[in-house]
Amino acid sequence: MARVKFLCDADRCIECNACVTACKNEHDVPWGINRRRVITLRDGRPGERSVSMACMHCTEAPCAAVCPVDCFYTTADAIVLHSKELCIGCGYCFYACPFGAPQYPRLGNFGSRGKMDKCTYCAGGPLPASTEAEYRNYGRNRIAEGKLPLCAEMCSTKSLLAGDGEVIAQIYKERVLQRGYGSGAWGWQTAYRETIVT
Amino acid sequence: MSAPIRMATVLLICLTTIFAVGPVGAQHGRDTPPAGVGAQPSGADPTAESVTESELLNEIGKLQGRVTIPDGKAAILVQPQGRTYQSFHERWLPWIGAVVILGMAIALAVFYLINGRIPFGARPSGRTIVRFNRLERFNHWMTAASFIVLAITGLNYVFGKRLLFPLIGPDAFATWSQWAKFAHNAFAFPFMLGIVIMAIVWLRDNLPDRYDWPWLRSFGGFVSGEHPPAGRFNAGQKLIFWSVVLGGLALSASGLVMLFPFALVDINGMQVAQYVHAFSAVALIAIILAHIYIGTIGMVGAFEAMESGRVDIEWARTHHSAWIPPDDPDLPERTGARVPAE
Amino acid sequence: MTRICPSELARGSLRSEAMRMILSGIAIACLISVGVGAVLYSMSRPPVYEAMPMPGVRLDDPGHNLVGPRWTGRFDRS
Repeated sequence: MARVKFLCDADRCIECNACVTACKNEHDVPWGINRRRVITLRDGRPGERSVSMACMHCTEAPCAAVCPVDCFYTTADAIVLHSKELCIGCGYCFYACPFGAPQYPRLGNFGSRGKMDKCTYCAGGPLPASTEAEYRNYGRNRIAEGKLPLCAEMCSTKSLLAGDGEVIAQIYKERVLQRGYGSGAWGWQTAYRETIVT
Repeated sequence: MSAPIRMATVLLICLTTIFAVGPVGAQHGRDTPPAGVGAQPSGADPTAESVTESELLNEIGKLQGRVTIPDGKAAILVQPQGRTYQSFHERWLPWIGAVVILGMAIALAVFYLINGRIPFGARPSGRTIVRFNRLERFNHWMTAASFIVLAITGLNYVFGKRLLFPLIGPDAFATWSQWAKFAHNAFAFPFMLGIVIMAIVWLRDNLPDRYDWPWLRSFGGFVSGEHPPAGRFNAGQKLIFWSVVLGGLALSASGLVMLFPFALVDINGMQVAQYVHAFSAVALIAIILAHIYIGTIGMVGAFEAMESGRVDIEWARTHHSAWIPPDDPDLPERTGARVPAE
Repeated sequence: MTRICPSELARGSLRSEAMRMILSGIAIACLISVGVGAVLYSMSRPPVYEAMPMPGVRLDDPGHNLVGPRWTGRFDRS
């Protein structure tokens, strides 16, 4: 069992949004729910960086910690998932998440936001794997089929990496060594409490 | 221009052109590969002026960029304050809440066991006067009922999953929490209305007067056994009033901010609203516990004041000796002050 | 002396006028809550795909944008 992570190499991301498109298509994500998004820092200025951001599946996930109904659970691969059946739509997970991963289908007053939705690492939810009900509520379950998340698979520059944390950290380290620079693994300090030393 | 100068100019132009075009023409066909390919990594970062995550975080504390999504919240890349919020909500708040609320309950129990009820203080005369009119009583009970519901449903957010969840399981607890959330949002409105009415109706009698400081100093007569004089409301009751009004105001403001998320503030503002709401709620629950104690079993004659609105005239003379009740057809004369006015 | 209205004696349903205030206070609190709750939760809360459209996206027929034909945003066990 591996501890899986996401890593977005900000020096390679070209803001093509292929990851976003892949995710939305694969899981039929409705408009307005942004499971994955690409954020551009210093747009148009020297030093522009783009980062693809979704749920990082943190160590000691803050969302899971603050949930008043304890609807989150962590799989053996360290994927953080939640149950939409138990979710009361209170929004605390969004306040706690450093990355803004939780999404809600409705605008409006507290309590009528609807069930929280977020990136599932393509691992579905607490319903039986690869069933119609699971697809409708949580999206496709690729992990159960032995595949990795589609966003990383579709990344046009291989800037977004997903998989065993140690493997992708190694890949990134080698990249940085080869090309001579790297701005770091964005979000790793906050999510996994570690950095990649190059 | 004369012919020789014209010729020289033309020649000059031709030579300049040839010398200029020559090198340019030569460059056009050059085929040297760009520097760096195949060579050792120079370490020269072509994006050297760009930022690293730690630099930005240290500088501005929250990373935002540009997105093509209309939802502005999606532009936030990292907000480390989320971990602070987690720490507050999961580590500090449960402990502070438990200590303050349980501490108050235990203190009240101890006080009752040692001291018993505060006695009537005189022989009941059987004659009663009006202490609270219909509006005051009705409003008090509307606010009190709302507060009880709000307190229980509010505590469910913090302690529910710790205390109730293990007893009834996830499905029942989630259903209960869903309805508790609706009830909390709904009962907030009669609570807010009640606080406003209380503030209007009771403000004048709760302004500080000259009996307050001596009353506080003697702990309401607890130490000496003598009842210090007080107006319609003694200093202890005034403290309750101001706690409820000001605490209620803080709860209402932060609660309204949370009821319409991101309408007025951004994510850090929402977190601050949570902090304010939680602190005020915990403090006010403890204070109200003391209020409920003294109003029910803590003092003889207190509950009747808010239940029927009437109190025995001797009770009033003992506990609120400087109170001159409004005109009451049963009491044409004033109660009279026990101590001479200072 | 406390005043007792003859009509109070006739009404046997409540113990005393005192209880009437307490019960009516609780009742009005519940009524206001339910009323406000109904208003609050009936206020049109558009789903995000209606509230945040963009010029480049056509949302004439949201039926194609949803997860399954009956997607409502709520948990669906069937």
